[in-house]
Amino acid sequence: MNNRRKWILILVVGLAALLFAAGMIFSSGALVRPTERSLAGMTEVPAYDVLSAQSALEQEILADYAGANYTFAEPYFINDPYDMNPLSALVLFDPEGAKSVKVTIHGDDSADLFTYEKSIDSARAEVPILGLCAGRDNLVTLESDKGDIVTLTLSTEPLPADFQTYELIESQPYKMEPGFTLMTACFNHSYTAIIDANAQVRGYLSNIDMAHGTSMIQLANGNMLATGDEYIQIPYNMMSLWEFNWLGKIFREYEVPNAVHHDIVELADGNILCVSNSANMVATGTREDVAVILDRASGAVIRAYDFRKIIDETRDPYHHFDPNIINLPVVDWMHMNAAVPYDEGNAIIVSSPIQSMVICIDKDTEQIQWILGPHEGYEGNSAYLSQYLLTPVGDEFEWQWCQHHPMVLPDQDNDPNTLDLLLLDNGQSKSFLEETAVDASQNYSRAVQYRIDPTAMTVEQIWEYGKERGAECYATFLGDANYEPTTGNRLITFGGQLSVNGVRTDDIIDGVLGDVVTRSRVVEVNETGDVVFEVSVLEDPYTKSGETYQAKRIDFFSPMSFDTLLGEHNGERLGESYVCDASAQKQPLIFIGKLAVQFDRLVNENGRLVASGVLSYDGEHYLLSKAVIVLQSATDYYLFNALNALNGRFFGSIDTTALKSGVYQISIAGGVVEGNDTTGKVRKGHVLTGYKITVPAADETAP
Amino acid sequence: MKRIKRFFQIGFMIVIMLFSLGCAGQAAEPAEPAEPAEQSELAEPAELAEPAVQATPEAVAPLVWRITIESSELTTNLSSTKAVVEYGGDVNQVSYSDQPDEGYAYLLLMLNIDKTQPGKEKFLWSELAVTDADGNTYSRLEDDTFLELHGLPRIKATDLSIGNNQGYACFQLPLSIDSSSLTLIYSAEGSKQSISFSATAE
Repeated sequence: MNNRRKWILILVVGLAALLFAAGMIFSSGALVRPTERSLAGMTEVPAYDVLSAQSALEQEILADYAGANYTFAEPYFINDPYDMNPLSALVLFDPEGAKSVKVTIHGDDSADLFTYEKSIDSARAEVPILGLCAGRDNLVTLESDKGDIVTLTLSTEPLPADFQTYELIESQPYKMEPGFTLMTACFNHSYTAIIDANAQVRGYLSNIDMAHGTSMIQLANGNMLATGDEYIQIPYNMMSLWEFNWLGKIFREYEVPNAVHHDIVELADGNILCVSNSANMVATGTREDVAVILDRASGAVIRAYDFRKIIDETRDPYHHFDPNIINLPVVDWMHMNAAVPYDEGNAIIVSSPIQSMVICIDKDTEQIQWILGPHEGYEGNSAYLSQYLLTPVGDEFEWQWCQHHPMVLPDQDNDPNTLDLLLLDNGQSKSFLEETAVDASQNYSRAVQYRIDPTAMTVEQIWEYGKERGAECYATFLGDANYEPTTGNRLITFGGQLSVNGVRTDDIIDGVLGDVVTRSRVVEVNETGDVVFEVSVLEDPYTKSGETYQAKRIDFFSPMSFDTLLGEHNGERLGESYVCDASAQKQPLIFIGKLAVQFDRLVNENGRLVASGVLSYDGEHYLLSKAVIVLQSATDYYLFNALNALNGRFFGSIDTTALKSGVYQISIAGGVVEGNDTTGKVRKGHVLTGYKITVPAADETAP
Repeated sequence: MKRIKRFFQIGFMIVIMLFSLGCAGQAAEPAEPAEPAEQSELAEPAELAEPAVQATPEAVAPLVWRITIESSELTTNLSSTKAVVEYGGDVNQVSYSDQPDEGYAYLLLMLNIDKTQPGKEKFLWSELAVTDADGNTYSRLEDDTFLELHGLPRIKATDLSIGNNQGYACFQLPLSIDSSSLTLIYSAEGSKQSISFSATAE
């Protein structure tokens, strides 16, 4: 062997050894393993829990109150005590024997005047002030039962610059159902607000991520119930329901692992019926096709109605909800938007706008009782459903299309065997076929009352309003229709009126994304169709959104909702959080690619890591994407599948208390997909976020 | 020749891998929790001036409300751009902006306003003003809610009762003033204080 060959052999062996060593290092994960130094440069995920934060606020207010003596004549007051409703305040004082206080908020005229009485049965009077007007000095008069009177001036801020505009069209307060009108927003481009008969805003939720996309209801105890502010799937599938009052105090958070969206109802026993999803949307590949009952005491899901097993998920009529995204990972085939009890709670009526079906099932057996909806499209797999279709009777009859909010009315014909159902018929397309679809500029929506005879399996149209308004009241999506118990009026929300450059459109997806102008109109009519209240909701200068999911006439001040004193009741968290599945993906061994992540929420809620944000690639945003959250310590790693939504959005919820203790860096592995087809070209990457989370040993306190 | 080329290729791979190993431990900059797909910037470059915090409390007793200036910026235009991904994948840029009155600039003060002891004294915005070298005073804008839309969390504009309050407040100042000699004055009894600071306009 000559020298040259010998050196070459040495070089080859040396390089091979180096290559082997490098391969070993690479495959061991050392390239992505954090060091003490790298972890020191990362930011710890901040701890935050809204319930604890509210308790701390209460203690702070009490400590401040204790710093001086406050009397009825010179009370303590604080604006917006929970940073939730900027048009509220809390007044505290030593009642000195007073047993009640009459509160009067003076507005511009009698329609603005708001008066209520708060009883006092404690050594510290706490009087909620609701219904202030925005951007002014509000005169508030307190009158005790002892005859003492004091007038306070409470200043409020202007409404946010991106607040939607309420334009009053008609108001006849003496003919209207009593109360204030709750205007629930659908997406987080708009605010949920409460308005008076002059369409003046008298309260709103400054937390724009809560109470939208789902009906907000007043419970029997006077509290409000609406979605919390944590997304499972943007734009409206939410993690929890919050029970709260109009000061913003959250009494209970009900966590729903299946997520909640659209309508919620309090059942006669106090439990909550809401529309939801299967517990694992990733596994079923479908969404918004399950109704669940929540136990009010524990928050647990005690019953789930999976409509994939009740009707035909392959029935696929034409509709505008169906996004033209091929191979969508989670299919919204039903888009269940309401579930309401019927027949003294023995049946459940469910609305599927995509299928243009209202379905009644037995609560216990899940057996279909009847189906209200157009008779087309029941072939093939769906043929067996034909036997449940109601037959129309009477001279004037139209089917509903893409309806919202079926409401069971009190007996209207003195016949306990019939059912009167009021709903909003959005009328979207008025056809299952694209070629016969009615154009948005020529279409109409209406509130319609049907009378159903379940024995004869017939349906009759009893009353309608909206057809005569034509396209002016046409709403492609969103809305509701409510029967008002005192006056018999109907409060109707034409919730999502879409337009591009002033031309009406049915482009729902861009409306959902906030990319086209969305307006709405709320109309209250009496039995004969006379308008007694009407408000047009317009977009603000900064966004394109003036949508209204629903409008409800409510009792703004509900005494029971303000019975507890500061510091007496810490908010409770009930139920079970959704947590992400462990990912089957292999550990990424290198940081690579031009993937970037931007968080809009990243908190450590008592050991549950909540991470939602958006993925981009090389500075560009893509419609479809997938994210895997990687937690990597010096010794261990875990991968979790995030739930993905359109436009690169993702959501992760990880129970870190189940992990080995340690300090974990947080990285995101994933990819974006070109175009609108999940089989499109994928651009992958793995990127550090710059954040870390510390998991304490079981016997240590969480950070 | 091929062998030598291969040796170079292998050597190059090793160097790359070792380089990656060296970089692996470095932490990335934290991805700031922020409104997704949204950029907020001061359209005209505004100088960020370190406030010359010269708190000169006039009261002998401890201040009930303590004010600190975290930052001060002057700008004649606030503009933001939001990347909107439309259904179908097209990306549009949606922009909006807010400008002060002609001849004026926005002064953006990031403030900390802390209550140091319990008591009846509220923080009164009517008692807070910026003064210039000529003695002219400028109050906070009555409505600066637009700040939030440019990614600038604002401090509540109602009178404050409790707590540690932080956020931006917006004033409107003439472009002609000497912005190197400004003073933030709070004149409520029990918390009187003045803070000298500067902010330079482009």
